[in-house]
Amino acid sequence: MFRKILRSIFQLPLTFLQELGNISRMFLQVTYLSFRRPFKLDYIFKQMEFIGVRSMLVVVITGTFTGMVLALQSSYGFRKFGAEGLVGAIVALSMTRELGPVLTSLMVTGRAGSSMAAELGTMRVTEQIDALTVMALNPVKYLIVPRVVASFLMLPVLTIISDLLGIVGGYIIGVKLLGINEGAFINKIEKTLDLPDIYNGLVKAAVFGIILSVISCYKGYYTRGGAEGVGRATTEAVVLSSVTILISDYVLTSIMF
Amino acid sequence: MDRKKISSEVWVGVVVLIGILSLFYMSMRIGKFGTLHRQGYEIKVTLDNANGLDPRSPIQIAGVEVGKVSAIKLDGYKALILLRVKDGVKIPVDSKAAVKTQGVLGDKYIEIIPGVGQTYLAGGDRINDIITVPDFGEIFTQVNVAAKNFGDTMSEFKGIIGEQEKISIKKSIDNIQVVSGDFKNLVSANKNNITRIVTNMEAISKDIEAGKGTIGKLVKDDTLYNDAKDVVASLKNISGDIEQGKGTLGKLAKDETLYDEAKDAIGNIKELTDGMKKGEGTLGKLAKDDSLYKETEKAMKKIQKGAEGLQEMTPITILGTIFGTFF
Repeated sequence: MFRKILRSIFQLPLTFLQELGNISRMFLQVTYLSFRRPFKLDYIFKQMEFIGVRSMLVVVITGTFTGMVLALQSSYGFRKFGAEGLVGAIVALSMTRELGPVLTSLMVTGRAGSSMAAELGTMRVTEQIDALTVMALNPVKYLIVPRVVASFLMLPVLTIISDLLGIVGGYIIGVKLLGINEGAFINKIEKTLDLPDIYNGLVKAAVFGIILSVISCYKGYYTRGGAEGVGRATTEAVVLSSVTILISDYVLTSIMF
Repeated sequence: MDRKKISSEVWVGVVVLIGILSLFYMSMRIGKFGTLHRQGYEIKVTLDNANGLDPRSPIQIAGVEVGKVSAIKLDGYKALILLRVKDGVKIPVDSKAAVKTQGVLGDKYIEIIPGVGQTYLAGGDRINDIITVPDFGEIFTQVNVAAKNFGDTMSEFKGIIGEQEKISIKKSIDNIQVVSGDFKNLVSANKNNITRIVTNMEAISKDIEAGKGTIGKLVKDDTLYNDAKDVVASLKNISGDIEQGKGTLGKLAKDETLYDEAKDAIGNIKELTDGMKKGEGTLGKLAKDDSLYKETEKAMKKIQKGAEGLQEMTPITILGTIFGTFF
């Protein structure tokens, strides 16, 4: 009994380190392979459609409503000391620097990351991945690289759309609904927002794209134990991706801004 | 299958296009696409403290933005601010610059107060006249100090006033009340007189205004002034003449012959006196040789004696004279 507890206590960090090492290995492998011929553009575009285009609706809704609620909340706060003109600046800065990239990545994780893990997990469980290996096709090159490249490319695109829609949502709520001075609202945005705010947000989004796709694919790729294993892999993929995105968001923000 | 592939790429293309357009639109709206550089001309301002100023802080004239701060550098231990001003905005050389704060939250900007000169600053020139506006921190510090001083003064004042003083202050106030009451009575009793005085004053001031009477003339008539002016002009002429050596005074002031002659004369006098000192000449002998003095003394003594003799003889002489007249 005690030995068991002691063993699991020692086992926990060991498992964690093993996981970290495996994910890093997967990441390096993908990075290496994505610069190697043949470039499977068809696969990449298919994944871009799946990850980017199919996530549009979710991202549009998330971005717009985040901007709207930000305007609502911050105008409540700013009204207390009569600085409602700053609502626009707050919405724009929060969206471009933080909420645009992070919320988009989390939504894509929930929608596409989970599906990646489930798809690869099912392929693993039904031994399709083994079949690819038998046919001398590198499953990482064929299955994972297109997903990672597609995420890396599409996340910034989704993020910039989310940024703009968030600001538009904030404008609708702030100016049209709450009657904040339109000139002050827009001028403050233009004065406060800098290009680096937007670009760094997009860099963050691209990094999050790599993180979520690598982790989701890793979890699916190494699925064990039938249908139950696929379900567990999907859950773990979403949880680990989201947590990693939020942690790395802090690190990236402190480095970039 | 073939149709499906094309459609997937088209969809991706649409989304990417939307993304790029959004990015482009936002970048353009922010308007910081490097348009700051290479437009307009640059002038310099040196400030003691550039706290709160950023590159891209606005420059305003009369509240209208005319440019942006392009760089902030350290120049010695002062802040050198480079201002990029739009072409077509001419800033006179005698303009002043001030760092001002916009709103309560303290966005700093540079206000240029244009001068009236007709020459304008060119690129690389410097605005030297800086108006320092104390920032909120300084103002609060000063207000704080002032408030503390005021508080100290009040507490000291409180300490001074004891019961005794309170009573005397009260008495003083009572006295003032009585006096003002008296004054009121006085005024109401002499209302007519005061009115008359005021009327007279009015009439007098009217007369002065009209130039009547001596004071009026003094105030209004400019002949005196003109006379004085003429006198001054004449004096000016005279002094001019003197300056040029005209007339007696001018000669006195300017011509050197008189001076030379005077010098010669003084030289002669000096020679004479020197001679006298040595006992040369008559005057010198007079002054120096005492034989004449002794002679004179002797002679005087003799004369004295003679006079004494005469005195003794006088009555006889008088008698003789009388007899002479009768006979």
